[in-house]
Amino acid sequence: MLRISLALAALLVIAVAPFVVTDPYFQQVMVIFGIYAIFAVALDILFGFLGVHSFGHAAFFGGGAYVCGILMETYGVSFGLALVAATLFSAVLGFLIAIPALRMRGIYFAITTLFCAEVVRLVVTNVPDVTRGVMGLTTPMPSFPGVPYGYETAVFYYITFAILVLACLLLERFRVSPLGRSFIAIRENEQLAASVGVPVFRIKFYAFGVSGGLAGLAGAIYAPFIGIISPDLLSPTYSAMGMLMVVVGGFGTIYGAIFGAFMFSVVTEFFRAAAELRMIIFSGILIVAIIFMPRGVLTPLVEYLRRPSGKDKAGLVTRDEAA
Amino acid sequence: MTHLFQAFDITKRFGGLVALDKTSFHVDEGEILGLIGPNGAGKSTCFNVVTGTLRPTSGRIELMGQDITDAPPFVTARLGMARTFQHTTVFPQLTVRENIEAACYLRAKAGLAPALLRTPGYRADQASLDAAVDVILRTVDLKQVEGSRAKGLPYGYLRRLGIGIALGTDPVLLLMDEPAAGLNPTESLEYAKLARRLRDSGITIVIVEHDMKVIMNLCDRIVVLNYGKKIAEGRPDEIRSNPLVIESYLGKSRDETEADHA
Repeated sequence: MLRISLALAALLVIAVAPFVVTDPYFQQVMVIFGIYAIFAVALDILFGFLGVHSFGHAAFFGGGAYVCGILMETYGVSFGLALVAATLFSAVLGFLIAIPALRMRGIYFAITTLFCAEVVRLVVTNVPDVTRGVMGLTTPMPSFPGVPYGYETAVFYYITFAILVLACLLLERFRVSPLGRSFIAIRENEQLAASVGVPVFRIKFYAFGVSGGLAGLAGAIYAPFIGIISPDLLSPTYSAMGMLMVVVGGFGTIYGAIFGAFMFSVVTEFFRAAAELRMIIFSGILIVAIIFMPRGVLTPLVEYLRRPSGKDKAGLVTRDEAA
Repeated sequence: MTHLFQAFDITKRFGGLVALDKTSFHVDEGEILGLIGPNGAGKSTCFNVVTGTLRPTSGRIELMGQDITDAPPFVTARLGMARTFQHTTVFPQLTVRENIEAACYLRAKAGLAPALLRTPGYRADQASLDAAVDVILRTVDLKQVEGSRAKGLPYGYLRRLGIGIALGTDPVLLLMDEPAAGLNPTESLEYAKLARRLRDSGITIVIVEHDMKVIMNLCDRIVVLNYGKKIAEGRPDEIRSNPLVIESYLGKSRDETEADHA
């Protein structure tokens, strides 16, 4: 019951937010929040659910942004079609990076994903004929038929959040399905998961494609919304941002990824007044959060809300609870 | 008759070390087979080769007439062979119930699309999975702690959970790696009862163990390994009186040793 009412409340807030927050600047911040949230949820599929620590997710986010930008700017493709193409491109890129990376373990896996992303960044930087290189690629604002001038941000907002809500709904349904549980089983103990028949490699491989595709979709919305993209979008900075969003919010939980995105978009805006000190203050908050709430800022609160009722407590008190 | 499981001349070399040397054995349907031997006899290697964790250097392995020599663990599991691990191996952050649910991967019939769309077929599949999980929880006597996180459960519980996880695959053949290690005498007895119950429910069992006591009371047949070779095979009473087994386990008596040197 609590879950459903929370979900409905969240939907209501999402639906009315653009009417309440009418300041165009803050509307833009909310769209960025939604885009980051899709990116973080995509990364959480690998990071939190599967325990696969990809250090190069900027390749998918930036790759999707570039595919969308190039298609719209150079070839005049419509926004909708460009979104689909960018998603497919990043999914295929995910499969391609997964093939070498998944043969590695631990730190070697991390390095492989990191450098695969660097390769993508270098390619984008060095083919200026297609990508404009370091000059950056301008991307036209898509035309939304029937939408009066000045309301494009609101359209972006609803597109972004519709995708986010749909992704979360599907992911939540997936999480509790037998296939979803096999993800968690792999995260918890890969050898044991294989021993009960879970095809570990195949599942990781597919997950890379889905996660890459979703990250690419986030990037594809980002490009025309911001209007200009540069190879910086593919740099490890963005990969790190994705990881931080997932870890700070609480990995393996969808709400955690979204909260992490909220921290990195909306909360950072509150520190604008502090000018140059902004990122220093924010970094301090992140460090404190990771030290004192290693399982995510929201996790203790959620566990409090989900604490077992009296009837469940009749069971054995585990060492975990007793401690 | 054909055997449920057969290993033909399996050899495993690690560099110069021959951990398993042309060992052959079989398992018949409905029996409890003990695989024993002193430390370093090649029991664990044998276990890992049989379950697909290690590939044999040479030899052939068959399950129900099917060649599984090079099959990885997730394939052997699909074919009906489940295993438990020597150390308590569970999914630590999940609850007891979620552990079993995660292990029921192979039982789930509905695919991805029905799961995302919540079709009636998927719901029916979920209901039957729930029922199967309940049966397993009762079989390993963990129903009362199904909501507790696995991490932090007492050792005996974790052992039973390990068996429950293996049962999640709905196995025909269940291999257990030193299941009695670290259990107290009462828990050992409980464990033996559980093993017999599983056998009576139609699961063939192979137990790898170095503790002779557990094995002698429980097994229908025993295979003894020493230095990677099979040195004896037979009923517990035959094994108990087999001079080669006595020698490898207890060593020769002083008189015999002196007699050898004379």
